[in-house]
Amino acid sequence: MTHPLEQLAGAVDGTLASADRAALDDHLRSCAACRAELEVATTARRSLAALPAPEAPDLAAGFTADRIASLTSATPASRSPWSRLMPALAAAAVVALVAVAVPRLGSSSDEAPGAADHRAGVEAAIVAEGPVRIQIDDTDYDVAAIEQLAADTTASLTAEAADAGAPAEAGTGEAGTGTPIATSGPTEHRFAPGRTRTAVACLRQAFSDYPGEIVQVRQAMFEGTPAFLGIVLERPQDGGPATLLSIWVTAIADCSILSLGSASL
Amino acid sequence: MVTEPERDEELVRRFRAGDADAFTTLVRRHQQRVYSLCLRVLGDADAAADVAQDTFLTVLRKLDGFRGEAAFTTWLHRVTVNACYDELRRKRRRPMLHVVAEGDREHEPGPPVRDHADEVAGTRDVAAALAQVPEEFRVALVLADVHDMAYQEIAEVLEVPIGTVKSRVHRGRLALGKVMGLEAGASAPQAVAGESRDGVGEPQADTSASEREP
Repeated sequence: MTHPLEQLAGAVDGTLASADRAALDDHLRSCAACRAELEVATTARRSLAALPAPEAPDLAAGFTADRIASLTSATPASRSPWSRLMPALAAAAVVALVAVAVPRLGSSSDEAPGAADHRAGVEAAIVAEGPVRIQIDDTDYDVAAIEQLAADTTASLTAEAADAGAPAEAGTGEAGTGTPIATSGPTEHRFAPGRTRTAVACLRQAFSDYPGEIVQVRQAMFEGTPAFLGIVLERPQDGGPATLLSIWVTAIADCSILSLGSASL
Repeated sequence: MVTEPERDEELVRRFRAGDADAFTTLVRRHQQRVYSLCLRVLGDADAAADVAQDTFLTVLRKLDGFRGEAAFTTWLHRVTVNACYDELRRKRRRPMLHVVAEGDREHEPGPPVRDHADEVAGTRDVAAALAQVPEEFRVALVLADVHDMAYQEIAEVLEVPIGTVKSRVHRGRLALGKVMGLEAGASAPQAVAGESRDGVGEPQADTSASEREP
């Protein structure tokens, strides 16, 4: 005997045409299995219908006109869209700059004057970006491209730190919140927490032996393999400000380390 | 508001003409449905937020390719469902990450339901049970019974015949009932198990991403 699956579906939600309903009723009289199914399916539907509407995150807040423009334009924005989206962080940047830079002044006697607070400024600029976010990067990297990215990122951080360190900007609320990293490549920024946590866990495992912090995560390809790129500021083992920018590349599939590039700060 | 809200298609037209705010309006209008669909299909609030956001990024990127053959909402649901399938596939491929995600232990494993509203007694059980329904059935089931969408529209969203939708929905309801312990009534305890029916409660074959592209 064939059981009228499709009709049972319609019977449960009341969309069954009356002629079909009559035929189904005929069938049900002689089919205990279908009667039982009808009962279960009806209860299941009722349970689902009773689920409350969840409270959705305000995704629209992440799609402001500015951000949409930067996401849809091929030309990289001159400043990170986050700097416009997050004015509160801009203020925090000034605080972070002061807090980080001041105690370290003069702490490194064996390097060029200003080097330590320069690096502190670099860190402050990054800290100002707030929690790590995943950026989608369409690039398929190879070893050379990772090295290049490390060099470029370091250069843009250095420029950023120079801006952030200028006293004249201290009161503007904009110091240190420009484009520490996103000068090229990725145009999409993610802020939802789930995947970011996964990526960060994966990357932390990769560089667990080194003190430092992940300042940016990208989802990209490495020689054809889907990968997370973690841009990390590494500190010396004995503490102090970060001296090295490294880029850890791990496979999304199993967290294995695919590559590593670095540049001195 | 006395004025009738602008149609989605009109917002799409305005966005294409360069009005970015029109897109923000689309997101605001649909974020609840998109998120809800993701949450009920994925069973995880964080993943749902990620994927809902992915969905709107994809929409933004592909809006130029949206020709209006389908209603915007149908197309949006298709993009959402595809994004959910992608996430489910990703999750299957990286079991290791659950081990390394220290500090996230409370999120894994266990019934994958973390939504505020679900704290209401009973709701949590239903949502958790839903997560155990085979994916193909679950998607159709959520569209039909949570979002109350018509079979015809679900067929358009999933790009399958309407008969397939009805069959998936019915099997999905039965699978959910089974997980919830509603085993087909005391009147015929062996009846369901005894019938030679295919599919109920069994995972479906994976479908490739390319097939699902909107």
